[in-house]
Amino acid sequence: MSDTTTVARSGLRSAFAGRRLGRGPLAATSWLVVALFVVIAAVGPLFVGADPARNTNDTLLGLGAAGHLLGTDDLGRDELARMVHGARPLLLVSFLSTALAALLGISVGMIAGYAGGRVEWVLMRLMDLALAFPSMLLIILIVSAWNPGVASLVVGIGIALAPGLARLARALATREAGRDYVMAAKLGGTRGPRILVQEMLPNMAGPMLAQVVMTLSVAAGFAAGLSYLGLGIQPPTPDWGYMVQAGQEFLYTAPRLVVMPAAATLLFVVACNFVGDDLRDALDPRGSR
Amino acid sequence: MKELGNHAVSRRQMLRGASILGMGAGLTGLLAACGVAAEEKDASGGAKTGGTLTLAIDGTSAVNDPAFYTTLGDWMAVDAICRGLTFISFESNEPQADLAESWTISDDGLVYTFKLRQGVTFHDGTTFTSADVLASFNRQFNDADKTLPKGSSRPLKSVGANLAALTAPDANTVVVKLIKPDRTLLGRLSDIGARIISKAALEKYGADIGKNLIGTGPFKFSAATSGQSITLEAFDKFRLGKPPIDRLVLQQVTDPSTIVSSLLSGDISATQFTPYSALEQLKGDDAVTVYDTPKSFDAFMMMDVRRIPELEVRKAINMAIDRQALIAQAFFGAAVLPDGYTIPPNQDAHDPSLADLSATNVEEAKKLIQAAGATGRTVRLMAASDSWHPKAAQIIAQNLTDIGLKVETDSVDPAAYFNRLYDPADKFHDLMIWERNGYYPDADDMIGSLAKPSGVYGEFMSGFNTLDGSAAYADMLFEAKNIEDAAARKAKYTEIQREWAEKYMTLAMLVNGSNPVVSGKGVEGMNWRALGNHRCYMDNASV
Amino acid sequence: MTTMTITVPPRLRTPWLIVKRLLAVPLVMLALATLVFIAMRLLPGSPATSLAAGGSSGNMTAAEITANAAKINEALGLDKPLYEQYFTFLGDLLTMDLGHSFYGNNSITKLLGDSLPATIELTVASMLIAVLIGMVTGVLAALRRGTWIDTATRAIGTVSFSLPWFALGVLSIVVFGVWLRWLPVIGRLPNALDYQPFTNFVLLDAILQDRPELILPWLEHLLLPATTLALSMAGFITRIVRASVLEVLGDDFVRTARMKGLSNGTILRRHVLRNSALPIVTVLGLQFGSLLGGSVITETVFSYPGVGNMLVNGILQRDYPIVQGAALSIALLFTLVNVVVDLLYLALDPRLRKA
Repeated sequence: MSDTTTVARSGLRSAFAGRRLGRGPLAATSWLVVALFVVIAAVGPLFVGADPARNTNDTLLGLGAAGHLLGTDDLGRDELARMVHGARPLLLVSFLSTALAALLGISVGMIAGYAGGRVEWVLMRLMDLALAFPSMLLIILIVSAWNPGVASLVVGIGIALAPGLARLARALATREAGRDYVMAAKLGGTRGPRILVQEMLPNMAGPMLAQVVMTLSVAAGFAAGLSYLGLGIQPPTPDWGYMVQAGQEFLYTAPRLVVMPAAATLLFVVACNFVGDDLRDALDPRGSR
Repeated sequence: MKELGNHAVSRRQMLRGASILGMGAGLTGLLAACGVAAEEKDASGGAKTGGTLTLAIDGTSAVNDPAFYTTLGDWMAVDAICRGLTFISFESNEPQADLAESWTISDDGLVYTFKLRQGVTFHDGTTFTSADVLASFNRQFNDADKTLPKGSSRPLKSVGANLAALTAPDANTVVVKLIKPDRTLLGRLSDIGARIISKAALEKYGADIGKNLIGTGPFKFSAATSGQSITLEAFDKFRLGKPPIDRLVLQQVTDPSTIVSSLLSGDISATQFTPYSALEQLKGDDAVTVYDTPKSFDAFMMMDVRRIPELEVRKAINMAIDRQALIAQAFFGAAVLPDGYTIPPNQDAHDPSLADLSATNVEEAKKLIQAAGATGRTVRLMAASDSWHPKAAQIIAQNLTDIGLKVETDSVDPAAYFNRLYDPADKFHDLMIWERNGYYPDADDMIGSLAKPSGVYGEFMSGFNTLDGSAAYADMLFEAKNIEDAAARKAKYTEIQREWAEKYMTLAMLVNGSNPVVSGKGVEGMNWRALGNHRCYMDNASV
Repeated sequence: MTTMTITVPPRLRTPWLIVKRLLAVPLVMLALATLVFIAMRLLPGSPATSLAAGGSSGNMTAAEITANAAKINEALGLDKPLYEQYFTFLGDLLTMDLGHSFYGNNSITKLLGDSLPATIELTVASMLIAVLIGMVTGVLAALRRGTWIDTATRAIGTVSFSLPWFALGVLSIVVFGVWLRWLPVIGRLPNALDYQPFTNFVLLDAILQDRPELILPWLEHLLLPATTLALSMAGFITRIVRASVLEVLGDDFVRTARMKGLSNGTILRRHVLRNSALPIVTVLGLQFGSLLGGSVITETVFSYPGVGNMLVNGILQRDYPIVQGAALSIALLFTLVNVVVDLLYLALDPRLRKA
C-alpha cells in the first residue's frame, strides 16, 4: 500500500516536470493558450496605452484604423484596450470561483469521507440538495439577490460548483482513509485535521487537480454567461461577457464587436478543458486510456 | 401554413369542444367552415384584406384592463379593444369625438356635458349607453369597487379626485362636474385608462374583466397567455367598419437582437421597440420600412437637490452633458436636441427659444464647478439597464469626469431601478436617468408633471418640494393648463419652464427621443405616429 | 454552459434506494421552495411600487402613490411579516396551490400548464438530437482512435459544449432565420394558425384533434432552439461515448469476442452499445439539469413560450409567485428525470438488477 503512495506522489512531481504533460499538439497548444491568457490579463494592460473606458467621438471605427488596431466600439473606445483589459474580470472570476469551489468542495468531501457515518450522511445530502437545482439558476438567484459584481459572481459560481468536487473528494478520501498510512498516522496519535491535510491530501492531489481544472472551464463558462445576462461586471469596466452582450446590437453592422470577445472567451474555455483533459490523462490512472 | 381566417369561436368554446375526445375530425370541419365563411366575406372587400398582423411588444401579463396598467403591450391591447369618449389621432393634437358625439363645456369650465353616440355595439352584442360610461369610470374612482382586480393601479383615480359628480340624465348623456376646472379633461378621457367597457361584461366577469375585456373597438379579445402573446380578432361591427386584417397578435419579444432578426425574417410585422443601434442597418434593408417616428418623449436626468444642494453645481452638470454624443451614440440618430426643454417638438407648446436651457458648455461648467469648490467631489449616477439608459449613463459619466467631478455609476434592471427612484435614501440617488412618454400630446403631461412640487418627480426623485418657492409651481401649472388660447398657453409654459430651469435646475434635459417604428414592407395603413407613442391604432392596417 | 463531471457518481444499487429517493423528493422541494422564497425577497425592487404608479405616475402625488402601494401590498399579502408569508406559501404548496401572479392575477398552475409542455418538448427534442449526434460522432472517434478524425471530433465536441447557448442561438437565428430564411425564429407556432391547446403538447393535440397540419410548423419552430440546446450537450455525449466505447473495446470480453472471430460491427452492436448505454443514460440525467438551465437562455432568445421564459419574466417583474412556480417546476422536472434515469439504470445494468 505504501508503495502506491510513493508512486502517486512522485507521479505528480514528474508530471509537472513536463514528462507527461502537454503531449500532442492539442494539449500543447491549450497549455500555451491558458498561459498566454494569464500573462495578458496580468501584465497586458501595462502595454496598452489607450484608456479602455474613455469615450471619444470616433465611433465604430473598423479594424486597422489609425491608432486603433482593432478599431473602436459604439462609444468610440479603443477595442484593443478593451479586449486586453476585458480579460481580467473573466480570469479573475474563473480562478477565484474555482478556488472557492475547490476549498469548499474538497474540505466538505474529505471530512465526509474521513469521518464517515452521520457526518458523511448529512454533508452529502446537503451536496445532493445543491445538485438537485440546475446550477445556472442557483447562481442567478445568488447573484441577483446580492448585487452583480465580482464578489457575488465568485461566491455564486463557487457555491454552485462545490458539490461536484465534494463528491469526487469524498470518493477519494473514503479510499484513502482505509489505507495503511492513515491507520498508522491515527495510531501514532496524529490529529484529524493534520491527517487530512498532510497525509491524505497529497495522495489525492492528482485526480483532484485534474477535476479542479475541468471545473475552471465550467466556471469560466458561467462567468461569461452571467456577464452576458447583465449579472456580471458592470460597465464601463471592460469585460468580455458584457462586451458580447453590448456588441450584439451590432451583429449585422460591426460583427467584430461580438466575434472578438466571444472568440476569446470560447478559446479560454476550450483551452481550459483540454488542459484539464491532459492533466487527467497524466495524473489520474482511471482516466488515462 | 394554412390560414384559417377570422372566426367567432372563442377559446373557451373551443376548449370545451376539444375536451370531448374523439371528436377531432368534427372540430377540423368546424374550423374549416369558419375559415371559408370568413374568406368569402372578405373577398368582396376590394383592398388588401385578411391575414395576421403581429406586433412585437415588451411583455404581457395577460390582463387587459383600463384600470390596471401592467405592461405597455397589455395596454396596447386595451387601446385596440376599447374606445373612449374622446380620441387622439396623433395627426392633430386635439381630442376628437369618439363615443361622445359632441360636448358642451360650461363657462366656468366646471361642467362637461357629453352627448353620446347612438347605435354603437359592444363585442358582446350589447348597445353602448351612458350606463357603460358610469360603470367604467366609477370602478376606478371607488376604492371598494368589486370589479377592481388585485393590484390594480387605477390611472383614472386622479381625475376622480377632482370630481364633484358624475351623472347620466338619460341613456345618451353623461355629465361630468369638476371641483376645479381642468382643460386637459378631454385629453385625459382619450387616454387608455379612460376607455369604456361594457357594463354587462363588468357585471358578468367582475374583477376578471381583464381576462375578458369587452369594448367597442376595432378588435375583440380572443386569447392571451402571460409572458407570450395576446390574440385579437377583427370586429365585424366596429362603428368605423371592419378592419382589413383578420387577426392582430401582440407578441412578447424581449431580446433586442431577436426583435431585429424577426423583423427581417418577417416573423414580426411591426414594432416600436426596435433597438436604436439597428436603425441604420434596417434603413438599408429592402425587407422593412423605417418610419420617421415623432421625437415625442423626454429623456432626462433628474438631480436630487438633497444630495447636490448647490444650484451652480447642478447647472454645471447640465452644461457638461454632450447631447450630440447622446444622439449619435445612444440613440443612433433617433433623437433631437431638446430645444423646447421638456416639451417635445410634436406638441403645440413646443418653443425653440428655450434651446439655451440645454446648451452644452464644458469650459463654463468647469468654471462653475471650481467656483463652487466641487472639483473632485464624488457624484453618483444611476440608470436602468435596458434600452438607451446604460449607454447614456456611460456618456454622461465621461462628461462629468471631464468637468472635474468623480463619478460612480450603477445600472440595474428596470424593476429594481424603478423602486430606487422612489427611495431618496438610495446610495445612488444623486443623478437619475429616466424618461417620460406622454400618452396624449399635451404640455400638462410633460412639464405639468415634471415641475410639480408633489409626486414622483418633485418629491421622490428630485426633492424639489424641499426648495423655497416650489409650492407656487402647483398653482402656476394649474393656471397654465387652463388657459383657453393656445398661443397664450404656450407663452405661459415657456415662462414657467425658463424660470424653473434657471432658478432650480433639478432636471437636465438630455434629448427628445423617439420609439422608432419599423414594419415589414407589406404592412400598409398602420398609424405609425400613434405606435411611436405606444398607442395601437391598427383599424386601417393591412398586411 | 455544460457541467463537466467526469466521474460517474456512485449510483443506486437497489430498487429500495429508488423508493427512498422518491420519498426524498418532497424534502428537496421544501428546501428549494425556501431558497426561492428567500432569494426573491432579497431581490431589490418590490412589485407594489411598480404596480402603484403604473400608467399615471405623473398625475399622482407621493402620498397617493405610497397609499396605493400600501393598498396593493395588502391585497397581495406582502404587508404581513415574512415568516407569516412563508408559512402561508408553504401551506398553499401543501395543498398544491401555487397561487396567482401579482401581475394579472393569473393562476400559476394554468401558466405552468401552458409553459411546461413547451419546455418538455424543447428539452426532449434536444436530448434526442444530442444523443443522435453524440452517438454517431463518439463511436466514430473511438473506432478511428488517434487519427485526425478522432482529434477533430474531440476538438469540435469540446468547442460545441463550451459554446455559450446565447452565442449559438443568436448565430443560428441570423443564419437560418435571416440570411437563408429557412426557419421561423420566434415562438412555438405561427400566429396565423389556430391552435386550441388541450394537452398543450402539440404533437399529441395534433393527433387528438386530428390537426396534422400543425405538425410541420411545430417542427419548424422547434428545430432551431432544440438544436441550439442539443449542440452543447452533444459534444459532451461524444466524449462519454468515445470513452466508454474505448473502455469496452479494451475489456476482456470484447477481446474474447474478437478472438472468437466476431467482426468489429458485431462487437459494437452486441457489447459496446449496450455497455456504453449506461454512462450515456447517467450523463443524460446529470446533464438534464444544465439543459434546463440552458433552456432559460434559449427560450429567451427565441421568445419560446416555456418555463424558462416564464421564470425570466417573473424575475424581471418581481412577480414572486411566478418565480416560485417556475423554479419549483424546473427543479421537480429535474428530480423526476433523475429518478427515471435511476430506473433506466436498473433496467440497463443486469448486474444491478440481480443485487
